Amino acid sequence: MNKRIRALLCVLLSCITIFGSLTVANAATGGGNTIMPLASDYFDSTQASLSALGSGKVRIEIEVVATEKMAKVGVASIVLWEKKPGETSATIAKTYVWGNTDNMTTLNSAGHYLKLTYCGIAGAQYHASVSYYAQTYSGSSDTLSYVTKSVTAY
Amino acid sequence: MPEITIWRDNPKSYPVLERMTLEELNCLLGQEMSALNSEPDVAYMSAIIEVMDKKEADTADGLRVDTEAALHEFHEDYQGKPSMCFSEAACETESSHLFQFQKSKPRNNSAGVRVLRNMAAMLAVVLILGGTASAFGVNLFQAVASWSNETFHFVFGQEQEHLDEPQADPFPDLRMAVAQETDCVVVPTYAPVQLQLTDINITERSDGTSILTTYASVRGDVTFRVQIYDTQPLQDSMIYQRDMNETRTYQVGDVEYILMSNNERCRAVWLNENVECCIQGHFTFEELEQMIDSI
Repeated sequence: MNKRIRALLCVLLSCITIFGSLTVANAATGGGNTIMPLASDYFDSTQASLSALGSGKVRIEIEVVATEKMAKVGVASIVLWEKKPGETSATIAKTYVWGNTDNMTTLNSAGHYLKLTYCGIAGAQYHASVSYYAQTYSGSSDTLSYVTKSVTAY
Repeated sequence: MPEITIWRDNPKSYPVLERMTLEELNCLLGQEMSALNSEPDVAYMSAIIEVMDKKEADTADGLRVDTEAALHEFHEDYQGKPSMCFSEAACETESSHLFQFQKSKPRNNSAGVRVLRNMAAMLAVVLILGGTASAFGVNLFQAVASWSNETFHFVFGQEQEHLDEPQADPFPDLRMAVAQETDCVVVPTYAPVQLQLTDINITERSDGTSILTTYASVRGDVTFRVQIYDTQPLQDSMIYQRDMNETRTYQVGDVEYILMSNNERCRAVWLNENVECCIQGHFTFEELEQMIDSI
């Protein structure tokens, strides 16, 4: 009888542990109600800007500084939006991600700087959605999104 | 004189003699044999000898130990094999040797099993937690290893005593790098803890030069970024992460220093002419002000 009670308690304890872990993990990942943090344990400061260079060219310049030395720091993705003259809405002109762009991140550093040039259309308006990325040596990571101001290519 | 064996085959009871020790019996036998005046009492002497023989035999039995059986049992217990005795009673009857050791053996085995069972349960819980955390992208084991790495350090000699002490001129490399770009003095000459340069990156930007240095300290990493703009920055300068706590301003001369916190870290940001600076780490506002005063 004692053994049965003990076995039952063990099963009960295991269930509580598993479901408790799932609850905590769900809460940690947002659980559908994501709260945007104001502060960051990963990012210290960021900067992203677009500037027109002439001949329809647009330069994207990004700098990200982490709070400490990171295993990987940089940019996860850049989505460049284009609104051609006469159009009312912007469309995606180019997407830069790790797979198709070099030097998106730096290893073992507290900061990263990235400069890209896009050959666009003179008269079109451009803005970029930037997703900064930082990964600690423990493997945990964070991203931070930012949308730049618009610039008109000439 | 009667044979001793006859006495042994027909044992008799000698309560008085049996209460005596071997030494006393020996002494008594000697007295009886040395009694020259009277004829020796053979029956009495035989009785003494019989009792002495019996006592010697008992003593020899008491001292005899079955060494082979004891060695066998020792090996069984030492290697963790299950004992051949299935009950305490059986153990008692089978082995008169090492009686006390055998009586305590079942208790030791059950304690060992209990400890092993508890360890297995703990291991299972740790694995379940690790697996669950891993499913959500958190490497628990690596996090623990990282925490250990950050918490525990090997520090040799007298360095340990000075790591938490203020450091004079902690940024000579940064000062030299900034001096090559501008005459503006922006680098402090004081830090509340010992800082060790781990990284320096100088980047040529479209609007100037950016110098980012990283330092290791007992309080964690410290970053110091200096950006020298070609012209006075108007827009798109750095966006600094900060928490809900109030920012504080600290005025020194014409320069306004903005102090803000970002979770557990504090930061000082200032713009002196065309040079934008930011230092952040595990400092207090007061320590940041002391650093600013040393510029």
